[in-house]
Amino acid sequence: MNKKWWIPIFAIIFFDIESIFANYFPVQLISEDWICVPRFLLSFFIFIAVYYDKKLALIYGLVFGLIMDIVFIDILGIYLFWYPAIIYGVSKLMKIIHTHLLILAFITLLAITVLEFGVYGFNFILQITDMPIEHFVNNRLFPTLLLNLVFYLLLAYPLKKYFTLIKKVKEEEEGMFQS
Amino acid sequence: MPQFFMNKRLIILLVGIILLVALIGFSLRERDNLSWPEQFVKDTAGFVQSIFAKPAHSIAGFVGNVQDLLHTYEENEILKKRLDEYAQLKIESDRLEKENEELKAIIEKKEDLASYNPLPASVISRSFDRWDETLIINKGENQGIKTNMAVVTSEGMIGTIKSTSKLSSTVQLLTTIDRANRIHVAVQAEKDVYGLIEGYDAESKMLLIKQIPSNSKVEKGQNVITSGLGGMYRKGLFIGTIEKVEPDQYGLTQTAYVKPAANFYNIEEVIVIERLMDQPDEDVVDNDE
Repeated sequence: MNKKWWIPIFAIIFFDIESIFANYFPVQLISEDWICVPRFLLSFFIFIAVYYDKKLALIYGLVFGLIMDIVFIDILGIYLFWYPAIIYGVSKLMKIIHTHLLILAFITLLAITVLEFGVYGFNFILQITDMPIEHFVNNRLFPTLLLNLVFYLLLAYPLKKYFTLIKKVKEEEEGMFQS
Repeated sequence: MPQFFMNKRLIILLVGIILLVALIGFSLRERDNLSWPEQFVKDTAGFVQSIFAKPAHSIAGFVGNVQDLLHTYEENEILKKRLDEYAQLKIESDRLEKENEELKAIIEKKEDLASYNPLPASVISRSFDRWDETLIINKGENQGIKTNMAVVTSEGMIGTIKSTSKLSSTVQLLTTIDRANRIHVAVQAEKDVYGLIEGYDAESKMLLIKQIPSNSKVEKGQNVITSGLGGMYRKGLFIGTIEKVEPDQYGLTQTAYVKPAANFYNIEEVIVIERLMDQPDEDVVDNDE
């Protein structure tokens, strides 16, 4: 089987991990007030954008953003907007910055921060939440960043290896057609 | 100006923003039913999620079992104390139930506010960003689930059905800060005190019953159940116990803080409660709210 078929499979797996995460992750044992939001899918899309294909990452962002909106929030447009916007921003940024796993860790956390603030902003404007900003930063943003940093540290190296491998295959194929 | 229109990116951005606002506007309006593409995506995602939910259930179940083993001794002590009490209660409740049935037969009353039809369901996922606390369960319209039905676990009421698709439906938990999320309840005092649950206090993690008349005797430790009078839920679903009562700003009414009985984490199996008593007309309900 062609190795690039693992991309959609990984995407679906991460999507489902996110969807059962909130019910099982025992964050209330650490602190009752903390809310850890898994942003594994976004990190994964950032990896696609940086190490493989920017356009593909944008399409994945759009599709999964729409699915998340429909399945979880019943308000269309929040993730549909933020996923592609952030992936686009990151891919622009990575043109200037040297790609290195440690730097990318920082960029991923930055992207998650932007996403959290973005979703919080939407919810605040639409009056779904009335959470004050200090509460948001202390009880949502920091735990979320911590969780996703752990996720990143665990999976960054294998993901990078995988994407550089399939990118090499892709470039070889393209080279074959051109010659 | 031609330069402005030639800029492809700018045009895409503008069209995108217009579409976005339109989509948000479309989905925020009051909707009775989800559109069919939404239902389709929900059902498909629900199918895939349920595949993943099963192993997660069993892993969590195993961890739970180990924890149970560690607490066996203490629990056993408490249970032993309760056991005598329980036997007494069981006899009493059986006797009352029988008596109740006989009396109902005499007055030829078939359904009352408390009669219901339980529809068991499994949780397949939970809203991951937790702005809006929702669960997705694996039963939908095809199994007879409708919006606004009450959802309970063995411990007590946890929420209501927010939306349904053919094979799955979304449960809104009581802990959502939503002003539309109102439940008519009865506080079991000497004489029942009625009130509305009007929201959730995230800081103290308690539900609020506001506007209880200041002369009614509501105290800490009293149980709160659904009254069945709101038209949506059956009578007698356990919600929680009163933790504290505070007079409001002007002293005319009081606010009761209710500690929910149900645990809102690790929810696996739920029961959707279908009320058998006739529902009032939809229009009337809408006007009430």
